[in-house]
Amino acid sequence: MENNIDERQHLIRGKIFKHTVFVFIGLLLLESLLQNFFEITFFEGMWSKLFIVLTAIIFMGAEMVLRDAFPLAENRRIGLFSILGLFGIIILIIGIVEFVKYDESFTMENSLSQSAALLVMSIMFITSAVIFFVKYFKNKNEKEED
Amino acid sequence: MKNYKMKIARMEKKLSQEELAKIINVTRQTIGLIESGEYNPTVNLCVAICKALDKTLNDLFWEV
Repeated sequence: MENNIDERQHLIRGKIFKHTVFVFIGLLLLESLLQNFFEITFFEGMWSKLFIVLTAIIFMGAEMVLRDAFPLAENRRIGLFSILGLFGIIILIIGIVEFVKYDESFTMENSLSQSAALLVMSIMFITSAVIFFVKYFKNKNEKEED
Repeated sequence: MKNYKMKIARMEKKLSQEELAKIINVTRQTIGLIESGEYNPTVNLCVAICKALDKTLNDLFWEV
């Protein structure tokens, strides 16, 4: 079982794509409502849109990992999530440095600042990598117990 | 409902979930979920499992 996905995974992936669309639409609606009624956006500028797209993608990836329906072969999966985790750590460091060195603010008018966006996104990347590795070692233990 | 018949048949053949999964080209998790009764396989997959374990559909999947 390398790159092919089996019938259960096909079925699950269909459900996951459906959930992802709901999350995406939900976040878009929430942002529109907040913007219209309270003039609040998640983040300043176009970071808000990027945040919505990224959240939906990370949610999809995490659900695929948790329900064992991720399409890539095991070694590629490890590589992908290692890179994601590393990327998350790098932008977390950059975000923290920006806060400390340049004394950036966490909020800006009615939204979170660009530096706060970096921090939130880094936490999302790190979380997805952590979810993957926890699930990976859990599956490995189950395999040994079988 | 757990599928003990399939688990017993697999053990009689001295196959692990991983080995059976490789034979029928599915993931180990799928085999685990079928045995624990959390996933209902299609007839195609049931037939593939029966062939791999030298059993009939009645032996593994029929409930009286």
